Amino acid sequence: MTTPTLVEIGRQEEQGTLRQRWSHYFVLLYGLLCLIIAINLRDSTINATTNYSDVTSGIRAAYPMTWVIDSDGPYVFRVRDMARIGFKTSIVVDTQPVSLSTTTRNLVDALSLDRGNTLTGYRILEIDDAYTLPDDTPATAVTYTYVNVEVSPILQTLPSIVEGFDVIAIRQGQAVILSFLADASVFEEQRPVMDRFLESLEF
Amino acid sequence: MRATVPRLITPPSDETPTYPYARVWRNFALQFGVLGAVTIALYVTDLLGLRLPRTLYLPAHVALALLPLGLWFLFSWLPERRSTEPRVGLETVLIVAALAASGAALPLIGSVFQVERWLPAADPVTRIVGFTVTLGALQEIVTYLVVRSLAWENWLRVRADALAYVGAAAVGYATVFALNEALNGASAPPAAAFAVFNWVALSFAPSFIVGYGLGEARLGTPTAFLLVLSVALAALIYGVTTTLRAALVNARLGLTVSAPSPLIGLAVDVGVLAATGLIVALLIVNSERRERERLLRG
Repeated sequence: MTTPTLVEIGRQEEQGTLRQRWSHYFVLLYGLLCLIIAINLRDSTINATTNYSDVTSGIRAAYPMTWVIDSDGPYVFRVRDMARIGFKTSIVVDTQPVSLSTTTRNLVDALSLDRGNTLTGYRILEIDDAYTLPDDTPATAVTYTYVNVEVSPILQTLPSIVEGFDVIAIRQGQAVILSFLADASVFEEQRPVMDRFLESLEF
Repeated sequence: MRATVPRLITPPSDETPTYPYARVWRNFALQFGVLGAVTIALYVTDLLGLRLPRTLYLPAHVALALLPLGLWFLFSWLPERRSTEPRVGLETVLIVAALAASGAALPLIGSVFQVERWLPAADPVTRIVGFTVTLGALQEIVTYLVVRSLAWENWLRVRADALAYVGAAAVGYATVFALNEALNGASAPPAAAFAVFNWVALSFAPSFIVGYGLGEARLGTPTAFLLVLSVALAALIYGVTTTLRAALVNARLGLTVSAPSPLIGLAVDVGVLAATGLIVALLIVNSERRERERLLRG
């Protein structure tokens, strides 16, 4: 008795020449290289900074290169992301002379009273008294929110919810108030900008 | 007496051998021509004050985004069916390219490359490099991978086949991006038509070069670097065209009145399509002539 033999008739697969195989490897390598360059270029462009230095207030910091700086308001300087649609993400730096007995908590209370009267729907979300700046300076951090209404009625925009993050520190009779403000929907996404700003800050 | 039977010799035939494949360049030219004509017609009707109501913008945008697909079926897919040696699997390549664009390219652009965040405000050199290594390289790698995985082994018989398959992949890729823009954009139909033509030009023109590279690598005996060079050059053309077009089309900031120049954008698109098409056509003719000579030499 003979066992049946199975004969498979199929198309012969072409393996390609060695040169063809290498040409495919090179394309895949090129794709990988482009991905690395793209991510590197993206990060270096997004995180590119410009240095700010003010001898009078003794503050030096690096802010995002594409943001617009102004020092015409009641603050030392303010930088804003003017390319953003809606509320412009901002970092505001202010200084204030204080007495020896003043604590950061006193300043937080004063700021909260003032903002409660001037900002719509102002609410404090969190106060962290044990916050420290990257150079180990003790500080108080406050997270809060309020409703921002466009001043110009021509813009016809809906009010937006703004989330803020203040860092208040005292050194040598001077309090430094650093405020980071962003639309609540992008606050967490934009927060690393403030972290990098704090890392570059010298006062 | 013997009758002589005249010997008849068949005269040499003057008939040229029938080209068994569908004509790729003619079909592409018809597609671009009709799409360009529709774009200009919409622009002219807008100038004459004939405008669609805003409620019809979305259906009009979707129809415009699907127009390249319809034209491809009309001028590329149907002629294939009528040719002696039709190319098989063109629609498969188109669908897989569209799925890759929708499932891989769009999410990668949105979550990883995020070009809208950093490239529009960058300096020209960074923009060229940025668009080349992000959108350009991604598009050409997707086109290459789709054609390589589906058509490489069995469907590339002549060099023009590679062009037909990258053309199908380009239509699928461009349709997904045009639909994405149509569903998210709020522009008027003429602006949407210019955008659709731009997507088609940006998908086709660099892909011609990838098609040449694929055809040569499969059927010729080029250096192992030719394929990667063709992909890299195609990505670079994408980057340069995008940057150049934006610089020429967008309204300038200044004290005088300025407006976008969509016709210049259309001219750039047509110029890139014509230039890359002509160069690739000449390269293919040259490659085929050299191959014929090599075969004749034995």
